[in-house]
Amino acid sequence: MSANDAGAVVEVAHLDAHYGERQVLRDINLRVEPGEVMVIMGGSGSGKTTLLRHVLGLQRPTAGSIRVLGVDVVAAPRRAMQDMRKKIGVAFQSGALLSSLTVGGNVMLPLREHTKLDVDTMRIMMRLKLDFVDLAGTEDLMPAELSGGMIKRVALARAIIMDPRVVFLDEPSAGLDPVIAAGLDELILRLRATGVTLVVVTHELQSAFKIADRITVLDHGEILISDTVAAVRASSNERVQALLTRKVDLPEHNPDAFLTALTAASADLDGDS
Amino acid sequence: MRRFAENLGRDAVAGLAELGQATTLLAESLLWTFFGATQRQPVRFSGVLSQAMEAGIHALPIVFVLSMAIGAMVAIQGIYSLSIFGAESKVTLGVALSVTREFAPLITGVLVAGRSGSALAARLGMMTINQEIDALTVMGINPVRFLVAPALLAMILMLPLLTWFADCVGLFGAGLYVTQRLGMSATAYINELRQAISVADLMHGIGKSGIFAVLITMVGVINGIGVVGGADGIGRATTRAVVHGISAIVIVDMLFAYLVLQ
Repeated sequence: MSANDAGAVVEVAHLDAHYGERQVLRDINLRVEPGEVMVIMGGSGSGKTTLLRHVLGLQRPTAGSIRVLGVDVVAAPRRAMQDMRKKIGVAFQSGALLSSLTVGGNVMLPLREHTKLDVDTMRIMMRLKLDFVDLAGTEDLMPAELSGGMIKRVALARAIIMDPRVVFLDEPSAGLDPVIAAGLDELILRLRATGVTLVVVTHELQSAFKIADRITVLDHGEILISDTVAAVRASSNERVQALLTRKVDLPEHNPDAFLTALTAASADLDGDS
Repeated sequence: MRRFAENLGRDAVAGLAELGQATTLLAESLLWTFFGATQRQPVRFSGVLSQAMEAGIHALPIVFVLSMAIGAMVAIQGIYSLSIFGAESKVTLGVALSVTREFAPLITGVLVAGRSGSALAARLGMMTINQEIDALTVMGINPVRFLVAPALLAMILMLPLLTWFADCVGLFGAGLYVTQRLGMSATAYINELRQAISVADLMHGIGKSGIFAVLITMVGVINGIGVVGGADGIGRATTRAVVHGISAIVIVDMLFAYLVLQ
């Protein structure tokens, strides 16, 4: 076992990120240990998908460092990044299946590109992974013929085809009905039982509490808490509790006051003219 | 006036940035083509073949129709113009040179830009929006090697072949009219063609088409990967790919003619 094997699978330190002038991630520090399921939670626009994209090396941070399986994602040369990417699996929110390939072609793609296995062996491995995600017999279908839940499961099968050490899942149950979403949670738990490290980005509370070993809560680009499920539930942080209890903090709706303000503004405009 | 100058400057900078990006992508595609195997990531022959089928073989019917029409049209106009000087008999020379050196590569280039350049932009645009490019990247599969290099190779292979096909069909179309109009035998027409056309004339047109192939691919790729937004963005990228592709072909054609014939 190398030194990297013993360390954290993902290590993010003092990460800052901007979209133009706007800061979207602020001093993010995160550590994912081998074999655990880390759920990154937060509302829409909290920065969780942006954080994932930075960890995967799809975007460059303004400041800070990111290491995945010991590789410095920000500064590593292309060859080191390629080697690291063979050891990770990623399932995107939309599935991101290549529309020109069949289900089987999509799942086999990493094997075809990175190994010298013969086609029959690749087919066997592809069928095993499709069976793992309960989609046996679908290898000849095209992505356009699949439902939303099936697309997510094929994406998961593709993500695990190379037997990766860590799997990243972006909103695995978003847009799915509760039954199918629960099925995906079961798949994630089944995957965890194989010893794979999982980093799951989601805004689904029920799903997060079901699958997580630890939860990181993001809000407005900042980490509010990163701890065990029990500690997150017991957190006294108001913003964490607001997220957990789905408390909505909207200003009070007062139609009369709005009408009065509108009339006053209109009168001002008439006076000016 | 100031706003106009600002917009002009901004557009010029954006244009230069795209040119730089296209040059980088071209260099990267060529590097992957020649050295991909040493990086354990070769450009797949199957990818080149499927792109070649789409850009080349499937374009044969429309290239046939247009080349036939253009050849006949050049012959009709040629005989009309030359008849003013009583020199109709020289029409074969005019047809041979104009079809092989100019019309066949230009029409084929414009057609492929409209057909395959736009399709490439739309495909890459859709893949960008659907995160398919990101998916390839995180799988350790270089998108330039996987998507751009096969398209470029297929285009460089197929466009000269299509141009050669257009040469043959265009001259055949012209021959149909010339032999009928001037009462010339097919054998005599072919003999005149053989005397009129040199290998250099053929290579002038076919060589140009290789440059057009690079232009069409790079314009399609740049517009495709630059897509922002949804269906609107893809529509804009597709239109832009066609307009920019055809403009680039015509301008480079003019420069090529100027430089070669000086």
